[in-house]
Amino acid sequence: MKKIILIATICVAGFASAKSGEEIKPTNNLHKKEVAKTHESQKANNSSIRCMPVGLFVWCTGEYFTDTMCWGAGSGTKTYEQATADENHNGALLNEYICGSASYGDN
Amino acid sequence: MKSLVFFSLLFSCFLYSQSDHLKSQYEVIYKLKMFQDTLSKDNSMEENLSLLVRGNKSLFKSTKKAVADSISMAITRKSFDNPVDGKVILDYKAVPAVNFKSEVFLDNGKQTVYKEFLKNRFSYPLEDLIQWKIDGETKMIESYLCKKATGKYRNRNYVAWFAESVPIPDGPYVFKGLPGLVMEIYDTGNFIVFSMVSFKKVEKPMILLKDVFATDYKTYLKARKNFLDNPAGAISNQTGISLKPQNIERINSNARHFNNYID
Repeated sequence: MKKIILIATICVAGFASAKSGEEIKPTNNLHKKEVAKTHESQKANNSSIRCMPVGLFVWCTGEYFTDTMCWGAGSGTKTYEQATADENHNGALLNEYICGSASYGDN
Repeated sequence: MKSLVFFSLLFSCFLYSQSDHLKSQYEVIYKLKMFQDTLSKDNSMEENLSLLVRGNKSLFKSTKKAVADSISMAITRKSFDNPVDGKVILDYKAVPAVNFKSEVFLDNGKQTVYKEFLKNRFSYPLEDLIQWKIDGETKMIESYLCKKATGKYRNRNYVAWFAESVPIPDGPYVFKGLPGLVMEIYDTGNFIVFSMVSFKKVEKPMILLKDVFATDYKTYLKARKNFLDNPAGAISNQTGISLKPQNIERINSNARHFNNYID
């Protein structure tokens, strides 16, 4: 029974991939398709800007500073990792300068 | 067999990544005691700093820096994975404060000073090396017989005690170039004191600051002066966060009190 399910799955997957393969035809329209693809990826990139509200807690005043973290092409910050590192730095700066840690940015 | 190949590859990658960095032969830990305000000796801070030495190269930096960076990044990651009502709350109470952010890299007699200032990182070569004057006076520090030397650095006069029996011409921060390891150094006003805590054979990676703006001392000083002209404005610009009047006042007031720059 398991073997039958496995074979059926492979067949379905095979048909599905064969069908999607049909959509990209290596014909004279290749250039057109590539252009279309570029537009699509740009559109995808533009719509890939993500934003998230962030609350930065400052320990000595008990305040939350609201910030908005954005990432993705067109946002000025390419990756999520860069954006989180940036927020990490913002939080550290606010605490350091508002609460007055000893370093005060430069010692 | 597959797992053997996988682990061999993983191990060789690990070895390769480790070999990227220079490794120390010795580590000297110094305790720094300094006053934040040159007009008052009420508020002092202490921090342990590490001098990693290998041959004619050395790196001087705070021992807390790497720990603080990894804890704050761990808090950030955890907070982003667990938002509260769709909002990420970043709370850095658990991050140890790094008081001494400067680093100094010595390479064959040439010193490069690294400074972190707001979100910027500067590096500049140390142009004016300290001209030491060795005195005949001696004293014991721990079990080391130390000689006295005096020198001037950036408008401050310093007294150094070095051990000729430890033939490493190095010391904390930029206080190097004496014929023996510096065991203690302080300025004559006692606003800055470095004391040796331990000296061990230790193999640790010597990792320099990355993404640094290489410049000269004057440019760095100008950037610091610009900040001090309007500290709250600079913070707001760098973080993109608007500040309330009471926070502006706090930032500006703190900036005036933390003025003991070692330079």
